[in-house]
This record gives sequence, structure tokens and C-alpha cells, in this order.
Amino acid sequence: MALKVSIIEQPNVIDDHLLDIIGNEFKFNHEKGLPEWIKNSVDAYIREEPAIPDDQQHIVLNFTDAGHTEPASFECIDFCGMTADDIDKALKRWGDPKAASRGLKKRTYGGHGNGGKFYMRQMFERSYFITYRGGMLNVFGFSENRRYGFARGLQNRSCAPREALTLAEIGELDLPERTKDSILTGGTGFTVVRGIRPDGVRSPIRVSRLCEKMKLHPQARKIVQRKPIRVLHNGELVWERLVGEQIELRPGFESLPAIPIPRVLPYEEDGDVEEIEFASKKFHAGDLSLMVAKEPFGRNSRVSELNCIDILGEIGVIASYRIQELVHIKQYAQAEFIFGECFCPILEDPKEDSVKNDREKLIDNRRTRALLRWIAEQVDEVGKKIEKEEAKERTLQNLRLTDEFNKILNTWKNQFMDRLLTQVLGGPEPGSGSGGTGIDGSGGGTSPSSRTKGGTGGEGAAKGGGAGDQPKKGTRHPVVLLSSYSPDPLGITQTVDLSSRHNPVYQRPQDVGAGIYWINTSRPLAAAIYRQHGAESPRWREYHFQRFVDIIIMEALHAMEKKGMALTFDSVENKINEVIKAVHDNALEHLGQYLL
Amino acid sequence: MSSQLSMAQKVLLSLYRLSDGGRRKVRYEDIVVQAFRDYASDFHLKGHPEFPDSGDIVHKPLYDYRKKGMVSASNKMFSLTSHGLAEVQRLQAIEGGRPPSARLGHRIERGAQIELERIKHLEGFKLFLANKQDEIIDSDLFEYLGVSVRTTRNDFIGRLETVKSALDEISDANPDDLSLVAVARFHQFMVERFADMIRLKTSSARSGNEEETRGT
Repeated sequence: MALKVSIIEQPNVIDDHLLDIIGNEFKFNHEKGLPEWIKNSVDAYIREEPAIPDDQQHIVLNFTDAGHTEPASFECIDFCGMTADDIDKALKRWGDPKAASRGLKKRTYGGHGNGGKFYMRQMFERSYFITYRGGMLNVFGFSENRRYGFARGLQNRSCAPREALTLAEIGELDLPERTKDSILTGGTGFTVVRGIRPDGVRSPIRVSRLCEKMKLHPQARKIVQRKPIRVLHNGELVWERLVGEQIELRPGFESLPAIPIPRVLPYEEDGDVEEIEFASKKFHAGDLSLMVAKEPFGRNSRVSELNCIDILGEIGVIASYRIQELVHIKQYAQAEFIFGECFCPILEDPKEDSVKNDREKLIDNRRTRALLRWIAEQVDEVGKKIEKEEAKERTLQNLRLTDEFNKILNTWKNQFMDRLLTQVLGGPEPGSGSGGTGIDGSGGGTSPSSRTKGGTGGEGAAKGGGAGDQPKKGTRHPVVLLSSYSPDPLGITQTVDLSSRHNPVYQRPQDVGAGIYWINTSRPLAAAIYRQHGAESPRWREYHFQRFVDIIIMEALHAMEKKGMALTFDSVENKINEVIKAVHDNALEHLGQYLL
Repeated sequence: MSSQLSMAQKVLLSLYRLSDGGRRKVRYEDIVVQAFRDYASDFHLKGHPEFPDSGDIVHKPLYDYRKKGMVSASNKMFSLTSHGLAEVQRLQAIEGGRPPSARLGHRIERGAQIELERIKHLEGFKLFLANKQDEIIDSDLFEYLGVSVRTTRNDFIGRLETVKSALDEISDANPDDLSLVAVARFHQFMVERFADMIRLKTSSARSGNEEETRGT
């Protein structure tokens, strides 16, 4: 007959060594530990009734250098206070996720109820809370042996507020306005968390550096933005309020919409694809908000910590991943601009809690792997948009440079085109330039819009044109513009955007009368030269110049047709060769410095 | 038999005779003289039967034919298009007292066939068949009609007319040919998609590249 066994349950007996094992895993540094204290202070405010507005939830950090006899110390002060009962029921308990909320139905930052205590225990020689509330002072902390308890004679000690301030040694500090008065009038209590002889800290304490790093820490970032945190060094005011890092967003990416997390995400392992749920009756799927900084964060810059995705739980950050830690990312260069937050409530599902004790990274499981892969894919999508934008900017920059050369080419063309066409069409050569000043008035010119018919053009002063009085439309030189860059002189559109299928040189019907030509900067060859060699390369200039040659040939052929000349194959071929020769000879003389 | 022909048709035949049976360009003045020589009773100056009339009696038919895509005109020089040559064939048959349909059908169909083959090889048409209508651009319209942005209003109207009549002709002859149905659909698409452009090119308002001077 089988033995029937029924266990009589007893409380666990845990050796303190377990705390060392867990504590060591925390691998605390101070910029990581201080946010734990700050979070505890915020939770103390959150528990208060009636609710205290954010801007009155004052927290003070005071860093004291080591003196001849006194060791260095860190303090974190809030203006709430705890009772001995709070300490017994919550503070003393290790690993109680309800410790921070004290059973209230309020969301608090405290997660597993360990962070602040472990920081005290592991990173200071001694540490304790001095807390005052309801006229009672309690001091509770860790001894040199890393064992906790109340300070002798300082458990539930009744004392007046002023005495409490004196005992806590904060009465003389530069505390926020009205907080001291509030304590003295019994309106509030206070808690000082004090760590003595911090690990790895030399005097003088580098407060600025420490606070800069701390405020960028994922666990502190949001709190720093919303709560007034004052910083003192040796009791003297350093910052009235820590200011969160403001990241300037990239224009055009200021308001990317939040991306909903799908209810189900695939997880692939060894070729098997499994569907992981991200929404249930109890948890909605959440979303991912990505932002794009104006400047890349870089790997080692001061703000490189912010190049990350924070994973948010019900309240606060439950993990944070630097972008380069998201192994599935492909758009690395663009990802250096991206940061964001992913709110995913199901990660805190007690049935499969994915939140680690130190809230640095998520617990590695199928759900978190599926989520991180999906996040990486979304980052890549934004990265692709940035890449597209960058390509656009590069193109614009190239076009700016091209426009400069385009102006030079237009000027060059205008200087010789009339003469060239006249020569090619077999007519008499026009006068060179302004024709000089005749006896009676100024000569006719080559100005495209001269109002009066000039004289014979001629060769100088002797044959200078007279001041004719017959209105005549002047010669209009074609204007060559760049698609997707030059403003439309006819005002039909802002500029003319052409596709890669449009001709290398393009005209709208309206452009013909106005003598406008557009060089199509979207043609595949144009784009390839741009991309590979840039707008200042001889290759691009050669391409650009050749389009001008095309236009001059077109103008010549059109003029031939207009003049009623026979457009047989032979005549066209001869004229094209004639034009090309003349254009090339002229270009060699006047554009050599740009083309060669 | 020539009495069966209209004055305009006679002008077209005179142009043909001057063109050596092809598409050579001919001066307006020469057409006036040729028409007078061919049909003196019709084209003499009023009250002076010994002198040719160089006015609208010759001028207007030429420009009307241009709008039908049968005549090209530039700088007071005129020439027949392939569509015009086909029409001449028809008129010659009438003038010669022969039934016009026999030779003429073959000739017109050939001209239309050439148009059809040209259209089938256009990139725009291929995109249309591939259901990539979004990629069809304004330049495709000009290629489709075999014109350019510089083409004058009447020549543009003429080409539009020529392409349309070629399609009608072939469609009537082969109503069940699926490739013709596709070309017809393409024509409809192009005309609708680029209605504004067509309006711009065919409107009487001058747009910079308008008619060369009509005065002769």
C-alpha cells in the first residue's frame, strides 16, 4: 500500500548568504543604485493621501565628501516619512512585489522590493533610513555585517519635528522651500536614506558626472523629467532641479505614430514557428513609440545611453535595450538616431513574469525574444525611412552644387548661342554684343528682351546701331533648369518633378513658348553618377554639359525647321556635327576649368 | 469625272502632283499655280480667268486637311502625310472614274497597320498591358501620337485624328482581334488620363508654340 504523504508547511529558512548571491548579481554602480532610492521616494509620495502633485514631490540628493574623520556619504531625502509598522511590514521584507504599494491599489515604481535595499547593503559600508512620521522617529538599516535592524534606542522614538531634523542632520541643509516648515508644523514627515563610505568613490565626489550619468539611466529618466530632484554637495546647492535630457527630434520625424504590438507574434526556433500571444483578457497588447533624434547618438557620446528602447511596465521602465543590443537590427547606421519606448503589459503577467530583479534586461524567454525581434524590425522600418530621407538630402545637396554649375553653363550658352545658330543656319553673323554707341543713341543689343530693334549690330562705334523706334521682340535664350530643384518660372508647380522614365531633357508644352528646358535629374544614369561620384565630379559635369549640347542641337534643328530648311537625313546629320563642333570648341575655350 | 471632286479635294490632288507622288515639301505659291493649271475654271481670280486665285480658295482646304492629319505645314511649305497619301489614292480613283474601294482599302489599311505596329511597340502601351498605368507619363502621350511638345496645334489635332481613324478602320475590319481591343482601350485611357494636356495642345489660345503665321 502506497505511503500517503501530506507536508506540514513551514516558513522558509533562508541563509543570509543568499542575499549576497542575489546582491552580487545586481552588480550595482552608483548611477544605477541612486535611481532605486529615488524610485522609493517617489513611491512614498504615490502612497500619500491626498495625492501630491508631481511638482511638489521634492526629492533631495546630498553628497558629502570624506573629511579627516568623517567618511563620504550619499543621502536621498523625501518629505513623506515611514512608521515602524511600514518598516516591519514592507521594508524588512525581501522580494515582496507588493512591498512598494503597501497593499494600496496604486501603481508604484517599486518592482520586486529589492533594489533600494540591495544598493544600501552591497554598495556602502553602512547604511540606514532615518524616517520621521506622526511624531515618531525610526532609524533602520544595515550594519557593517550587512545585517539589518533598528538602531538601538531609535525605534519609535517620540520626538518633536525640530529634534527629528537635528537628529537626521538635515536641519541646516538647503532644502526646497516650505518643506522644512511643513515638517516643523507637523504637516509632513521625512525619510533620509543614508549610505556611508560608498564603494569606489573618491573624494571629492564627482557629483556632476555622477548625476549626469544617473539622469540618463533608464530607471531615472522619466522620474527626472517629472519630479523636482534637488542636488546638494556638502550641503550646498548644486542644482535646484535636475533637468532631463532634451533630445531634439529630426525634422520630418517629429510625430511618428505609435505602432500597436500585434496580438500574436511569431517565434522561430530550429525552423519551428510558434505563435506567441501578446494580448489576453487581462492584458492588452500595448504599443511601441519610436522617435528619431536630429543627431546620431554615437557609441561613446554623453547621451549614447539614450540610443535605446525602454520597455515599460505598468509604471516605469522594466528593462532597457541599447539599440546595438537588438541583434536583429539591419539598419545600423540609421538606428543610431532612434530611441523609444515599448509598453507591453503582458510582460508583467505573474504566470510568466518576464521582468528581472534589476530591471535592466528582460528575462530571456520566447515571449521576450519574439518581442525584441519585432521591435528590431520596427526600428529597421524607421531606419529605412531615415535612409530614404538621407538620400533625398544628399540629392538636394548635389542639386545645390549642380545648380551653381548650371548657372555657369546658362551664362556660357547665352554668350555664344545666337552667333552659333546664325552661323549654323547660314545667315549673316550678328554684331558682336552691344554694337557700340552710334552717333545718335545707343546701339541694338543682344539683350533677350530689348524693346526696340537695334541697328546693324556692327563692329564697333562706327557702325553702332541707332536708337530704332520699331518695337521688336528680342532674342530669347533658352533657360535650362534642374528638375526637382529649380523653381518653376511659370508658377504651374513649385518645381518640376520628373520620373526616371522622362527624357533626359524635358519640356512641358507651356515651356516651349517660354524657352524653358528641364534637365531630368531623376534619369537612372544621372542618379547613378550623382550617387557614385557626386555633383562636383568631372563625370557629373560632363553629363550635365552634354545635356546643354542636346538642348543647343534641339534649338538648332528647331530653328532650321522654322526657317523652312529641308530636314533630310543628310542635312540634319551635317547640322548636328556642325553644332557639336562649334559647341565643343567654345566649351574648351571657356569651360575648360570646369570640364577638364 | 473631276467634277465629282470638291474644290478642297482638287487642291489635295494638286499638292500630290507637285510632291512627285511622295511627301516632298511644296511651297504654297506653287500649289496655287498647280491648282490653276489642273483646274483653271475652279481656281482663277474672280473676273480674271487668266490669273490664278491665291486666296482662301486654296489656303483654307490645305489647313483643313492639316487638321485631319493629311497635310503637314511649316513655314508656308506643305507636304502630304501617309494618311494624306491614302486619301489621294481614293481621290484619284474617283477622278479616274474607278470605284474607290478596291485599291484604296488596301492602301489605307496598310497605313493604319503601320500605326498599329508602332503603338504596339510603345513603352507606354507595354506598361498599360502590364497594368502599370501609374508609370505612364505625359511623354508617353506625345510618343503615342507621334508628336512632340513643340508640335503645333493643327498638327497635333491632325495626328490625334489620324491615330483615331486608323484605330477605327482596323477595328472595323477586325472586330474580334484582342490586340486591337487592347489598343483601343489604351487609346481611351490615354485620352482620358491626359485630357488636360490634350485640351492645352488643341485649344485655340496661343501657348507659345502655336501656329506659325497663317498669313500668306
